[in-house]
Amino acid sequence: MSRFEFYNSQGLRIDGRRNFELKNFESSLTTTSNFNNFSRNSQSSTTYLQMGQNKILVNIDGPKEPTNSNKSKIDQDKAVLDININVTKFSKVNRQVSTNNNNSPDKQTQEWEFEIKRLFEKIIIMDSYPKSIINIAVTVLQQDGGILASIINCVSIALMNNSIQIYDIVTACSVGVVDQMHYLLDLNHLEEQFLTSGTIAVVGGSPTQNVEDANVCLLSFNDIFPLDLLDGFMMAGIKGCCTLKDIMVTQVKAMNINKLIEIQ
Amino acid sequence: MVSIKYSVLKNLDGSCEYTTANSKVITGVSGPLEPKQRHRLPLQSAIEVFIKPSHGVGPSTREVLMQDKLATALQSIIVTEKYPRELIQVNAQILSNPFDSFGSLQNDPFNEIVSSMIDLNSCFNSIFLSLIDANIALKSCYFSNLFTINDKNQVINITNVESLESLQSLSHKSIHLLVFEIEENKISNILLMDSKGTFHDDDIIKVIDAAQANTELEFKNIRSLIKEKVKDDYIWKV
Amino acid sequence: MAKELELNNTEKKFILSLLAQNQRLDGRKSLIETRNLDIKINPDAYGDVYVSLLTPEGSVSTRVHCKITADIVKPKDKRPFEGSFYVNCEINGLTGLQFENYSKPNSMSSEGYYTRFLESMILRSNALDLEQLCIIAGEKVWDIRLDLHVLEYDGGFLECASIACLTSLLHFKRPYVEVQNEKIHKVYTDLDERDGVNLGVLHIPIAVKFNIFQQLPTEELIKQSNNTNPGKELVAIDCTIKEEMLSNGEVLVALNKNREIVQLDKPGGVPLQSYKLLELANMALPMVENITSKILKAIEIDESKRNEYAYLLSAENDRYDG
Repeated sequence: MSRFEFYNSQGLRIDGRRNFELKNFESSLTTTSNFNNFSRNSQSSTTYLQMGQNKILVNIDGPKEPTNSNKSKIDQDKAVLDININVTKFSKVNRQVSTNNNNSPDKQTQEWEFEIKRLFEKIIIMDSYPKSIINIAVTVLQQDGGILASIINCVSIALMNNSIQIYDIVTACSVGVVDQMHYLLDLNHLEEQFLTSGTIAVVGGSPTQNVEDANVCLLSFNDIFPLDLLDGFMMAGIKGCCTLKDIMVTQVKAMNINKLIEIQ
Repeated sequence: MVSIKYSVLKNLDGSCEYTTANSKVITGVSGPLEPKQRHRLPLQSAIEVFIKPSHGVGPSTREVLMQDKLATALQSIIVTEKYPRELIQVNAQILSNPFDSFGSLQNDPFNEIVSSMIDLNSCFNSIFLSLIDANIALKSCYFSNLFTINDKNQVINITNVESLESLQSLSHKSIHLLVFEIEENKISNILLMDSKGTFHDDDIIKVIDAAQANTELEFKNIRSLIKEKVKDDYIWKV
Repeated sequence: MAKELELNNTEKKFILSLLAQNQRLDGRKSLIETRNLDIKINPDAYGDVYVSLLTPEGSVSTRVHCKITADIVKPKDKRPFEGSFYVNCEINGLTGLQFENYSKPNSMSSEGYYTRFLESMILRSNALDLEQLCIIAGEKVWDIRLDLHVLEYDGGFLECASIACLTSLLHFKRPYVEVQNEKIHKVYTDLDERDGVNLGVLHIPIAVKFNIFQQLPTEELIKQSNNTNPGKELVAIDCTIKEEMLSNGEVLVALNKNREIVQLDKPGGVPLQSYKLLELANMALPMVENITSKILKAIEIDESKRNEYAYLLSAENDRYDG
């Protein structure tokens, strides 16, 4: 197999970034667009995140009273979280021809749903919304590596935009390892394909915090990898997550100021 | 030849592991349970049979057919009036079938038929013991037999055929599953008869005779096993 | 997860306080003590394995049956040189009443997640050599199907299932295939006639699950500067179903004895400090080594039983010794 070159002659990655450089991170809020009329939820807003070439829409509906179909899931003390991820067929470079005709999510998507549900169940202050349901609908419009991390980030921003109480901000980042010594942050799809990679999510990280004390709330790692490198892998990931948190906070603030101006 | 272990699954009301020379099933019965609204029958209990194949995702059509046969037969054995608006759930997991490993590599049209008949036969007998273990009221006992008639017109009991090779060398002409109802220790009715292949009227008589003899013999063992079980379970000894 | 099972508050408190005192409900004396492992290999077949976890009193708490079947199929167009491997596991009403017989295709249960973990643990790490399964490139390859039947369920499913998977993969023999002129000439399905071929298992990954019991409320955990409360959480391995229900986080680690992480997942749950995660991954290593040797030993014992009369057929004799 021909070896894939991760660096060009200047030591930059194939998309021109340095090792620890994150992708371009841009989020925006769509409250008054046609999208809402289309989805007929005037009270909920849609959050759009563009992280490099990953394009994700998150629409949060709730907390609200459960509809008939999921009334059985209701919890007297807490809110119930329902996550739906829709990975569009045109999101990849090659259009996927799905074999199942009933549009049920594939195993990979189900796995993401499971992980994200478990993650945010502990992050959202569920006790403050008893007997209600929070619906989170994720639509992946375009994917370019590290999609799980992007979904988590986007859900995190959307929760803030929808004023749902959370303990702290969750940030996630994908990490890859080159030659068992260099770590790359925020992979693109080519890197993800050829490298051993994983996703790490941190809650409430801050750059001043000691890296060892960061609260890791999700770690997903599916490739074979020496045990002794796990340390470096997590350090790189946590640093990335902490940086990302600053970016997210400033963007959410800016977004909501715009929203305020719009309302006035 | 046949080995039976009852009460093997402690999470269920009744269970049984039934091993013949060529197949192995594990069955469990739970009930009476509270059923879902749509399963609720006003005057009798609903019976749900669920069979999982030894390999692959199930139940497929092959298992659904078996489930149907079992459910109809059980309907007339279980005292359904005793458990109105309740559910009796019967689960079976086939653990081994002689055609499992490489059976699909040989193209004998009879393989598919024989393999599902073997499973069904073992399930019938195993479920009977599970029902007793679960203390479900039964109208009568039953015992299932599986016989084949080969090209030399011999009647052969399949449960005793050990290896896949000898099973395939039998050159079946027809295969018969016979479930007898047993009342007061005597064979009374035929509960289910399922025959496949080409055969004459005389063949049926021959098979019924052989099956009757076999049932009488085998049921003695099962009866003594139940006796033993009841004795062990009876905790109020003086 | 277990829907109809519910614990009352007294029992909840009792189990948690037991855990805090380093005790377990089933009589184990430590949080990191596993239940006894029992591997039974069916002597009449290849790749037919029963693995059970035994409580200290010796009764079976979790039992898994694992069975491998093989078939010859046409390979996928994208990968003409590779066979296929597939894990099938459904937990149904036979295992316990809390499990539904008809699973909904749209959502994933924890058990589904574990099965997926197992499948990708074996496939993505190349634990099973798929290229060895090729018979004629682009035409015929072996399709290996692994079926897991969970007969009894009391926690420890992931460990039990991964042990069962690997034992039966190591034990299974596929028939020898004779190929002449790019055509299959004969398949020796009778393994007595011609000995089968072992599957190419390149390394042995074993999965271990850690359950986290965090007593602190989440807001304190996240808000506090973390240096002040080191190690407030309890971490237990090989939890029973009741303990699993009380746990509020889990870490799944699959390792092999070459000090390699094959898969590591922490699907949500309470946050855990990063150094703790490292500690857990390292803690799993001796357990994995222990389990691997147990598997290999069980297979070796079975092998020697099968070859009981091998020495009679052997041409070796005393004269060659000197």
